[in-house]
Amino acid sequence: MNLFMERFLEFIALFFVGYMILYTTFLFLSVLFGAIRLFEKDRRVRLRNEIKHDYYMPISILMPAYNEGVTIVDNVRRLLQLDYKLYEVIIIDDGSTDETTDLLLEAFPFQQASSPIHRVLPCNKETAIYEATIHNVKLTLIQKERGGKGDALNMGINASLYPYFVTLDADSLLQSNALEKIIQPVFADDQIIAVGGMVQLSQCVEMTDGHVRHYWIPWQPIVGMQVMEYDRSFLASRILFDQFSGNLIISGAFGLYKKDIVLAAGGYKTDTIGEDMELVMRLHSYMLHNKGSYKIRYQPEAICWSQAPRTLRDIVKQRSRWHIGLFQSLISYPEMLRRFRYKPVGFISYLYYWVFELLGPFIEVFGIFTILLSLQFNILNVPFMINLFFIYTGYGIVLSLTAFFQRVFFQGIKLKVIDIMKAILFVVLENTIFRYFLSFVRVTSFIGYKKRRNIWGSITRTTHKNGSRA
Amino acid sequence: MFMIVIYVYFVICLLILFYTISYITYQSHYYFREAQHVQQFVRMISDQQQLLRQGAFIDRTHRNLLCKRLKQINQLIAFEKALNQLDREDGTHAVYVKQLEPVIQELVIHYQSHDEIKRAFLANFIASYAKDKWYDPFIYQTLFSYMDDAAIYLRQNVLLAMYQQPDPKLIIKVFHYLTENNLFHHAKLIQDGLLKYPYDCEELFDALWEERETFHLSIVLGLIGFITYRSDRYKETFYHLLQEEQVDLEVQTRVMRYFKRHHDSRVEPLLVALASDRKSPLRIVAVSVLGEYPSEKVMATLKKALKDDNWYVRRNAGQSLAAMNGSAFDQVEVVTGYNRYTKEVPRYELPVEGGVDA
Repeated sequence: MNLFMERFLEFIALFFVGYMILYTTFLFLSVLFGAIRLFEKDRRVRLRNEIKHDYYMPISILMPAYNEGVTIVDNVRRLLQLDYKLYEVIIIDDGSTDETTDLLLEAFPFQQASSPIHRVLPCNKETAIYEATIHNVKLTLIQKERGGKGDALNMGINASLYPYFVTLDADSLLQSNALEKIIQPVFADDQIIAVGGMVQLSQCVEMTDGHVRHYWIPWQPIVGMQVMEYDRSFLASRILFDQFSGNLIISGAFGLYKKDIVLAAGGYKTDTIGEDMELVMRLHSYMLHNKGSYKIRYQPEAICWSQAPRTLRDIVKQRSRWHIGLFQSLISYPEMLRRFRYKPVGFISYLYYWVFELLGPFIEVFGIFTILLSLQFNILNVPFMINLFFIYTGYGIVLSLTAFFQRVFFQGIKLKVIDIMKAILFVVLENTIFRYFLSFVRVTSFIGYKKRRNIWGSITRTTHKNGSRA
Repeated sequence: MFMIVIYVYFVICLLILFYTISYITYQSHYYFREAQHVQQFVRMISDQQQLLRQGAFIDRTHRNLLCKRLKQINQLIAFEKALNQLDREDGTHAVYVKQLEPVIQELVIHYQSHDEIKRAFLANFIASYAKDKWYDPFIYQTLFSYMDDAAIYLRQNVLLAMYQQPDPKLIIKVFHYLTENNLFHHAKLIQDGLLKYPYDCEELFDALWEERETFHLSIVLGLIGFITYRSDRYKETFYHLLQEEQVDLEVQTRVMRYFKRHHDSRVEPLLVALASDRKSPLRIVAVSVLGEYPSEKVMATLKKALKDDNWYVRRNAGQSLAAMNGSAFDQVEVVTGYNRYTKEVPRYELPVEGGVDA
């Protein structure tokens, strides 16, 4: 029995070594490409190598909302002050049970409208439509029967006037130049069908007129650790995948889409949890099937500040949803590997998401279990394991810190010494504790997931920092 | 094996981290130095402007110094910031910049051998200051040579510079280059860039339009947009173009929009025919343009278009009817008669709050 177990554990050890070499290589390449691209971008912007234009395409901003009474009025007010010439804002209240609509009707000079909405995409019925024009921006509020975020976004697409639309979470703040930045790639390349913006955590900033006035790392460890995690994810892997238009996710918090392509692909799916990822995967699949030339870009200069969960309960809920969404999206498009295995988006991106994002947490938890088992059979090389843990964790810390400093520099943020100290502390905590905790959350996310289909993810919202004006 | 790999990665990542931190530190030092250079240039330029006020020319040593220093990109950036800080309304500012032409002649040659990011900056600098000042074709001929293997940013900056010189032939040359090399340039960038042309637009239209068949479609679309904003002299040309059969759909659409801005009664029957053609996708635009051509016949066509299968045709027809300020009687008649499609759109376009209950 012991011999069998020994062989089994040896095999597991070899598997882990292979897995970790692959994963560390991926992280290494991500940060390397991220660094090169960001420094080049910085140089380009400094030397006016950008499509700077007085007037870009008109854009429709779609803001689906469900029980967002706490933040919605302030955020809509901020949206009306963006530094962009022609855009409209469409808020879709997906059957909120709080006072979301009442607060909006109180805050803005809405008038009930009866214009018909052209149903190109299927969605639940609207119950009321209100319109207002403020500072030359058309503001539309659509109240509809509850159907989930994807359904609300489909309604927004149906009601939108312009050829490009941006999706925005109701708790998100846009920097004043965010629309300009996110549309710029479209002018540079006519093959672009979608652009993802960079999402950062709003608990770190105080904004005035759409500009970041103060930036700090919050003392709350849960938020602080997420700051580090977001930096690694948004700055590293997404930039690497962007080299070959291989991003499979554009965050629902902030992304731009070409409307006619989204319509042709069928809009958002309403029976999935991760509707943002599902749409991007469908766009890839649709364009590849139709042999169309296309690009999906990631634009780190287009920045959106979104609220992160502050409690463990909220983060468990959020990450469980994300993981199930990831699972639903990946299993829906097996052709990405079967039919398009020679395309980088198939054999790199799709495989990456399967192996490192979806199965990664299982492999990590299984690894911990195996270590305990080895200890039980007394075949664990303890000094080696300690050495491995330290070097692997140290490597993760260095990568996260690099991504953090690159992002801070790229955004022109000035840090205080105390914030650098906090960043180092949270990077260590994130790499030693938080990531293993999140792995466990992801592994357990499938328990009872069928019950959670088609519901809105909700975390406790708070108003943005007192006195902040955007 | 694994430990070796991870150690190697670890060390390289550590180096990247150190590089990042050093770069951030260097940048704060760089901005400090840049501010000093800007102030230095401001003082130098102010001294030269003093000379110009006295009726003299700018000093040759100053010009030579600029030729030497502006060959470094950081100095050029500082110099531009200094120019921006100075009052542009001051009459000597324009005279000073005009007298820099020999410096620019030297810089365009120098930057030819630099990377495209630096070349793009120089092109942008020229685009910002060339208007009515730097005419020498040599500058623009040299800028044209920057286009080889250029990224979109450099191409755009070179184009912006070209729009600031008076010779349409050079602009045509760039458009030909883009077309021959199949390089995409957004129609809107072309249109808005051309709108910045400060000289005789009529001459430019004619020269560009004559060459239109040798241009890429997006350039032609941009050109039509440019003409639409600046001239009503193309009614005849576009009227004939609208009658041609082998014209690109997008071109036809733009030409129709031209007639929305510039009224010409001759196109009314053409638009009516297009609006009535159930097979033509152009009817969506035709019914929209017809809103500017109020007549009995148009009204009847638009009412008919309200029954079209295409939602956008119905919507545009409704909007056109509302824009025509036709009698409320007519519209109520439309709303209360026909079928569901007919009622749907104009009901909401009537200039009565809340529309009319059908």
